[in-house]
Amino acid sequence: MSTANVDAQERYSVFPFYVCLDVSASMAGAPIDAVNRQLPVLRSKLGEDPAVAEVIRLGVITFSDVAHDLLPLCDLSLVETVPTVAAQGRTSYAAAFDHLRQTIEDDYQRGRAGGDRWYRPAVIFISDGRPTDDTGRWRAALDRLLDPEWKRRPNVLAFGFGDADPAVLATVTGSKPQRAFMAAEGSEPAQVIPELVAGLIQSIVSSSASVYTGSAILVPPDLPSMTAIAVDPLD
Amino acid sequence: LLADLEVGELIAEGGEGRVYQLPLQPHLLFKSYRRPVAPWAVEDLVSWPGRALDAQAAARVGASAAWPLSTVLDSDCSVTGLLVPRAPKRFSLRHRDGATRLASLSYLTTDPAHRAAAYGVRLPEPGAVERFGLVYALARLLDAFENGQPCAAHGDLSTKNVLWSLQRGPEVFVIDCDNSERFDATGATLGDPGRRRAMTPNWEDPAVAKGDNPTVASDRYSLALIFLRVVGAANYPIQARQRSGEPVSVEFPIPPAVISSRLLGPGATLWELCGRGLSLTHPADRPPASAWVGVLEAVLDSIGAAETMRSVWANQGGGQPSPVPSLSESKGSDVRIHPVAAPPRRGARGGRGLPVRSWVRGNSVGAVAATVRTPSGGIVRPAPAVTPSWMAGPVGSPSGLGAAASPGAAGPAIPAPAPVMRDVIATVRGAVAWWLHTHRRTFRTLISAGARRQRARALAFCAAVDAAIAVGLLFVAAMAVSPLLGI
Repeated sequence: MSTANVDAQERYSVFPFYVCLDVSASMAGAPIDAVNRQLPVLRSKLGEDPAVAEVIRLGVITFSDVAHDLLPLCDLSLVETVPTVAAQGRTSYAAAFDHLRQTIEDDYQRGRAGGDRWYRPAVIFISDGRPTDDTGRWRAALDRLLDPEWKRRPNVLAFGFGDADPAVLATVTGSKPQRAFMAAEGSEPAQVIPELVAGLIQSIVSSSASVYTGSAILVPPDLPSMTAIAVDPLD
Repeated sequence: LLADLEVGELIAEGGEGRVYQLPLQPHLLFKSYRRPVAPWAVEDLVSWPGRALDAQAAARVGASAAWPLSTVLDSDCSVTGLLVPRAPKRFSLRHRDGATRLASLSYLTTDPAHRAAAYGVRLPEPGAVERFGLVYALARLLDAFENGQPCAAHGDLSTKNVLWSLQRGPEVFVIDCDNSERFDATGATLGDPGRRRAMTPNWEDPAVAKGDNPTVASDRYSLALIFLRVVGAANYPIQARQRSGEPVSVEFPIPPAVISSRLLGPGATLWELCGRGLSLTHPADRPPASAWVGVLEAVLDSIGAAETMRSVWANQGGGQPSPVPSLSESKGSDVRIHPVAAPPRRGARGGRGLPVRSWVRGNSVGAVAATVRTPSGGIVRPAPAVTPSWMAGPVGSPSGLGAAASPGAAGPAIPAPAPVMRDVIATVRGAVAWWLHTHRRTFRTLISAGARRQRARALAFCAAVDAAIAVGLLFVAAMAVSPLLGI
């Protein structure tokens, strides 16, 4: 019988999370202020627990007319500060999806070169509006992101408030409506965002615990109409 | 009675209940049950140290475990919760950013350089004597559990349940003891047989089938796993491999200088203990905690760390040398631990001409570069790109228990303030906390719509306290000033 060797260098597979955040002009004012107050909370709550930081990698991508890496995928215990964001421009979903696909592939290759093993990444997509780009364009970008042929395709959870369209958010998750969540009509974004971040923290902490069982699951925030998603390890 | 307690802030919430602070008893916590529990089982739990242990073992449990102290009854005299000791402040770590967190084992199970870069906490290096000392302290506690009449087992010795401190020498503080179980001589539980206890993922005993409860043998597995992870400062994720049915071979780096030593080299009893402790196929063959106590004493002694051993005894209410155990014949473990020579030091100062230092005493910060990725952008703190220095240098010569520690040994990794100063600081802090609490409570009473008499009483009490403090301060000030005025 073969023998399994375990040495001191062996690490757990990591579970990458990408927060993909809409910072278009409609987020200006109280919503973007709430984001700037909450991102450091997300960083400290997830980074200060070594058992969580050990297996979770988190990146933050912002998008409006174009998409940027606000926080490159990293071990949050090593992050000192999260830059602040400013709201401007339109809501290009295509820019977000194209950037996500490229970033995930690059991060995966870089991680693999460093000896990291990955669980399928999760994307937390947060938007307060409808896509302003052409429907055909953002749908094509979404298809590239969720392409079944692409091994690194992420599980997407989508959260909307303000003018976001529930049907569009459901599409963003790959037409898996139980993964999309829409805030109650008329609720204030400045209140929704802290609640959402608290839910995300709880979700990521629970997901990190599942990594240690050897069969990771993406535990959605404790919100109505959401269920846990089994996550497969990548080659 | 619950009505007699002033219940403070909720600090934790779990499946079985909620944990609250008690502002008037800051050294205790109130654990409130979610569901009704069998009163006899809870009484049995609370009374266990008093009836099952001798004085020294009871002192050990009192010092190193949050064993429940009493039950809390509600108005109809049913058990609603427990009073449990709160972990003393030294069992927490202050991060660089000021956040204070309980000192869980997770801090110790990876390269200390990573934790230093992340949190600014200084931790002993892999293989440091303090790490052996922590496992030794835990083994002594579990020895007390195992030797009770009846014996007890914790059942979930995981990162969050085993806290540690080096301030007064290596110490552990095991929490969540209210979930522990007592067993009769046949191994049958003496608690509520219907109760289910889950182990923490990544710290679980793979021999416990799903739906079954952990046993004394599970604590023995946990002790071996904690030795591997804490002394080795690495994750060693072995359970999934074990479950797949494969024999597991663990490579455990030790300094090249001790690879030929009788107590730490290949074939040493320590490695056999660890391998058998982790056995999935023969859980009954797992060595008792007393075997660990004896073997770790021999190891600590051989590396000139008798002083560490004595500090563990002092912190656990006394102790004396234990006999070196004679292990029963092994049935052949499915886990084997192979000590391997740790790779030579690389990094900033090159691989030759290493600074000579006792490998077991090292506390400088090192890192395995590969474990830390530093993405681009100036917001991520890079980890130091230096490998650990703990492999360098000779091992202290063997010394008897009565002999002094080897000369040249450095102090503990985290220096502690002088005991008297510490006590003074703790007393002042306690007094200030009490003063603040009293005033806050009075303020709340005043603004509430309660009875006038209650408000008046609270105000009078506060005024009396403040007047007494003012008189005291005036007296101290007068004493300080009087020599200057020639009085």
